[in-house]
Amino acid sequence: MKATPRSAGLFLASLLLFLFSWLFDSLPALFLAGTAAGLLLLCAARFTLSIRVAGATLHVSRTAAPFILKQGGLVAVTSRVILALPPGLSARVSDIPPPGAPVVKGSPHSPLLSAGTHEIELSYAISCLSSGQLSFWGVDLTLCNGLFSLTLPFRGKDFKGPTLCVDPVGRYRSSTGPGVFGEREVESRQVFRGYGIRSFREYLPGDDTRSIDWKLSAKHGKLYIREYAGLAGKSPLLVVDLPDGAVSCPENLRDAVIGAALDVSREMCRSPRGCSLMVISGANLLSYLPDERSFARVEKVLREFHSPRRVIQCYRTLDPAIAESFRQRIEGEGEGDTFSLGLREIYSRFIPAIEPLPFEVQCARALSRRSDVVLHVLTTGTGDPSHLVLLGLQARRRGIEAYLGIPETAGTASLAGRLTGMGYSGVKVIG
Amino acid sequence: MAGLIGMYAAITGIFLRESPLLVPALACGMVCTACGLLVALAWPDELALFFLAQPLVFTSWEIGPIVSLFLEIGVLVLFLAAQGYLATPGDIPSLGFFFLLLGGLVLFLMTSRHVAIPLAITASTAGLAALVILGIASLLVTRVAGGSHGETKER
Repeated sequence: MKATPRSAGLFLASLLLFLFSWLFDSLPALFLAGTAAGLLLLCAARFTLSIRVAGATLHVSRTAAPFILKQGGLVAVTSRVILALPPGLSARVSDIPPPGAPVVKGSPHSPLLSAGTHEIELSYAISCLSSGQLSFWGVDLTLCNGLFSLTLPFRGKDFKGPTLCVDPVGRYRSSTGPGVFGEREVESRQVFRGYGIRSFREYLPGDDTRSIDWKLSAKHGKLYIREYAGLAGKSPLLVVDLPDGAVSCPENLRDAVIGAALDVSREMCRSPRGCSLMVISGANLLSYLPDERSFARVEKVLREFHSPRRVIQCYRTLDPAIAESFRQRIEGEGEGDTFSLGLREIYSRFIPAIEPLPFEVQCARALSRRSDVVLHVLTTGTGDPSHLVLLGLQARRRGIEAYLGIPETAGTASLAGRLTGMGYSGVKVIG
Repeated sequence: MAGLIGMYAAITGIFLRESPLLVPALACGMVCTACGLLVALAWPDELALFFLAQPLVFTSWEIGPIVSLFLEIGVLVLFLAAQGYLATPGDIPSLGFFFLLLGGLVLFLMTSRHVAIPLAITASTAGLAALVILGIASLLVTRVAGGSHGETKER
């Protein structure tokens, strides 16, 4: 409870009168001091009772649109506040936006309300700079009378809704075509079943009757059929590699990868083939959604595994084929050298005992599901890249094109160089 | 309230006419009435008028403590009414209780020869009451910050 200058004056007068009565042994001064102190306490007690009554009548219903948006997007918020104030009390209602979402338009504060029943509407806009699930902070009700003021911070769940789903920003694009992964419209003799119409021509025996354009045929008195254009390209398999939640990783890297994955998968879900998504964290397969058409399911998976815990940790894991190449290189280089002999012996004993990781088996199955697959791996590029090497090699063995997307801020040129030689055709930057 | 101050100045003047305090009481009454009129006309503020009435209540103690009590009650009723504290019939019992306490204080002071004991009792009682009120306000703030109405106990 805060004192206003008036109540401070009353308190000071009471204190001075108490001092005066004590110094001059004055009974009337003590009476006046007691009266002033009693008046102050009476007003305080009355104020406390009034704010209880006013607080109990506060009801807030808030709407926000859109509630699913990208980082940095604007949200229009409308809060309807119902409040009944007892006589002698005035109030101001402040809607508190979520943390990391400053108000950019309008005001979340109400004007000063006098006694009576009020139904007001607060309209303002916020810019969501943070990502994730953002809840409103609550409502502040500042009540005052002539002598005191108090702010009641309403932070219950009734005052926190609705929750905003803010997707982090990230962009992973190929520049070779208009499709998400560089698919482009082509004209060929192959029959496409797409949405775009390339041209019309006269009907020839053997043409699909479903392609006949009846409107054009009726106009010209001859049968015309539509020639379709469609997207030609391979089926993309999107792999999202998320860093270990137990190890510190810059949030902007994680957000860039998830943002790019959401951006890409949103468009993939709209395509006829759907979105094939594999969420991994190191050599741990967390989720695999083949040909998924529901973006909500994809989004749920990506949010669920935002900060995963790695059960299997890889560190400089060797593939048997690479180990064998190392052994052969040693054989060719250091003849007679004891160190080389020892190392060769170790490799010779070690290589037959290497067993494929469950992750490798899972990757092999996912990659062999379709013949026309192209692999796109989005990773933060932090930690040991063994799992990326294993994935790249699996792709290369099946003749699958593989691309790697790394956030611009990761700045791992050496990692990109190393992985390019491990089965990846190219490294792209996530913007 | 300015009229009330003038009336109080007249009452103290009439009742203290044979007292050596007549001149100071009249001077005080004139000053307070003039100031009261000035405040009421230029910058109406009930608390300032309440303060201006206090010297007259102080001088009326010489007429009798009960007179002082009634004069003070009159000022308080006007002040609280102006603050909107007598808007509902539910406010009357609490106000009655407050005036009873004031009456008790006057009676206690009438039977006391020195201020030491009444001062100690009044100050400590006021301090305790202030602590209780602040505690209730703090509890209220904690409750609303922790959940919506009436949810704190369930949690």
